[in-house]
Amino acid sequence: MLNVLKDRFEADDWEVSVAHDGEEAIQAIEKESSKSKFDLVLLDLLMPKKDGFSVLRDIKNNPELKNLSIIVLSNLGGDEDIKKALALGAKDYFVKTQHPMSEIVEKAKKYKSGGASAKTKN
Amino acid sequence: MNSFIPTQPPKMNIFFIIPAVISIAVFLWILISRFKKSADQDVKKYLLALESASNHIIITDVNGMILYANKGAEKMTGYNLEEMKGNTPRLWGGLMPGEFYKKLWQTKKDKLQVFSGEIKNRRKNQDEYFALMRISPIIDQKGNLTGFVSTEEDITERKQKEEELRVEKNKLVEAKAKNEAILASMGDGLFAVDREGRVIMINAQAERLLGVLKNNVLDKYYYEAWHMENEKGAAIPLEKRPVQVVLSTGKRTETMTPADYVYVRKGDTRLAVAFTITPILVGGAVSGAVVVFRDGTMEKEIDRAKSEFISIVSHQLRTPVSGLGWLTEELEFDSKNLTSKQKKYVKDLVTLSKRLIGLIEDLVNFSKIELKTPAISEIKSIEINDFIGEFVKEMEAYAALKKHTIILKKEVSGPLIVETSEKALSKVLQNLISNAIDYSPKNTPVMINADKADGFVKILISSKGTAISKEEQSHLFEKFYRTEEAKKIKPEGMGLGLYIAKVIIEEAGGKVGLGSADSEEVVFWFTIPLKEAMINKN
Repeated sequence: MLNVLKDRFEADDWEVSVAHDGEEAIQAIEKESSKSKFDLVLLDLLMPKKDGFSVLRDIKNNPELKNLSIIVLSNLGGDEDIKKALALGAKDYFVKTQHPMSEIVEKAKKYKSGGASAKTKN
Repeated sequence: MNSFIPTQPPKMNIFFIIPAVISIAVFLWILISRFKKSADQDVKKYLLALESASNHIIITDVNGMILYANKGAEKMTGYNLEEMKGNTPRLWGGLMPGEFYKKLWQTKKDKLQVFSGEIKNRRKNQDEYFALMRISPIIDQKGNLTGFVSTEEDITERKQKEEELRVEKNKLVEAKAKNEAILASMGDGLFAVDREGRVIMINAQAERLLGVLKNNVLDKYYYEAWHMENEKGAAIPLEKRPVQVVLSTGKRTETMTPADYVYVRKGDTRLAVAFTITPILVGGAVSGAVVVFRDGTMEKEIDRAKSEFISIVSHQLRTPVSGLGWLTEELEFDSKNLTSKQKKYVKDLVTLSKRLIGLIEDLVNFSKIELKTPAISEIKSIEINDFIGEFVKEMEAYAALKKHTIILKKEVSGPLIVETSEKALSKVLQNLISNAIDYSPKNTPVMINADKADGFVKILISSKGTAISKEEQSHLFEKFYRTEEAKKIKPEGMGLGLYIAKVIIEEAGGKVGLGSADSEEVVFWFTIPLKEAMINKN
């Protein structure tokens, strides 16, 4: 799954880093932040160790990271989840089944904060 | 002249005495005969009276042997006097228990008192009759018992009426007992109100469910006796309370799900109920209503558990299915190294995964609706013409696949702004337009029309279709319902599309329906309130 998405983004000239759980993700983002490397975070919600909402909160609470664009990409499609993610500062929310990858790649261009690199997780 | 004045006591003159005696005798005879004549006349009068009395009268000797019977007695018993003579009244009697006759004899003979009672006898023709009997002892001047006089009054008819009444009364009592037993033992709560809404009846179960006592609520207005809320805890205004609606419309109503109405009991405990309310119609006018309700808590829980299960399952299903979708998409995207056969397989795989995703999304939507999650969120102002235009573009690829063209007609100019959720509106359009495409013959157009009326925008989707019978029409918008024809054309459908569309549209304050439904043209339509109208209204 993750690799398919990575391949597709790389095919669209993105540089992609992958994390497999919430903790790994937040560490990677904080480590890279000094160089402002990431343009976009594609964030899942149901992840081991730390869920997507916590990751989202951590990023937005970090003054150095708060302008980072985050798109939530999840199988959770409840209105409550969507509202919560958007309220926490996510730029957009995609329910995985409802959007083909091509559409996500397309939207990602619109949301990236600058530069040409993205990060996908899980 | 003293010759006529005797100076001595006169001597008895025989010639003088004889005529005197004779004259006295004659006088006495005349007197006696006169007296006798008048006595005879009196007796005759009395006899005549006895004879012509319609009541039965008999006279017996001290042993009960019949000496005399009047015409009434002959008529009542069917025996004539000749037949009766030498018999006792046992001739037509003897049907009562021995105790009765024992008491009769004790009263009339030993105590010399009047005996009276109801007796059953048998006429000569064997018909039985009831009589009110009265027997008086006849006592002569010396105080000796010389016989009895007995009268009977036929009360058969009265007795029959009484018996009929008794039977009817028993039936009533039985019916009442039955009704009360049913009302008391039925698991459902039941109460009835009069036209003004005063409680006129309430069963034990309703008392228990509502937490009230019969005596405290009878004759009270039901809406003062207990309160009602919707599921979210907002009080339901009187005119919207189902009983009130039934009283004002005279139409029977039934709740579909137990979640809609909640009674608030003493101590603020809540009871979700499902009910049926039937108007009591007298001569076509509503004179009250009967409410049968049941505790819907369990039902509601089961429903909720069921929907939650569907929700969880469908979310769980989404994970592998979204992976499948993306993987097949990637395969299709990067298929240059595949053989043409493999390419075709990949294409089929894409179609299949899309269908699977569609089914799961329907399930998710359905469970959302069943869980009472609002179908509409993130409300925005949407311009209908533009929105439909954009949407149709997205659908065109699907239509082309099925060799259809979508023709968009815009009859209304100017912006048509509605306030709703894009996602929800897309879902409605998608369900209706894809139905129109799926269920109409190839190479026929699907027309989309927008119209404006009374503060609403009306969208009509028409296609050459498959005729839908009246019976089918009545179920069309029910969940999981599919017409026979639909099952043939598209076996994999679930019957949720129209149901979901209906729920969304109704939540948006609009209506959805079917226009014509013959094979020439099938028209589905829905309405949404226009923003301007909503502003004006507020």
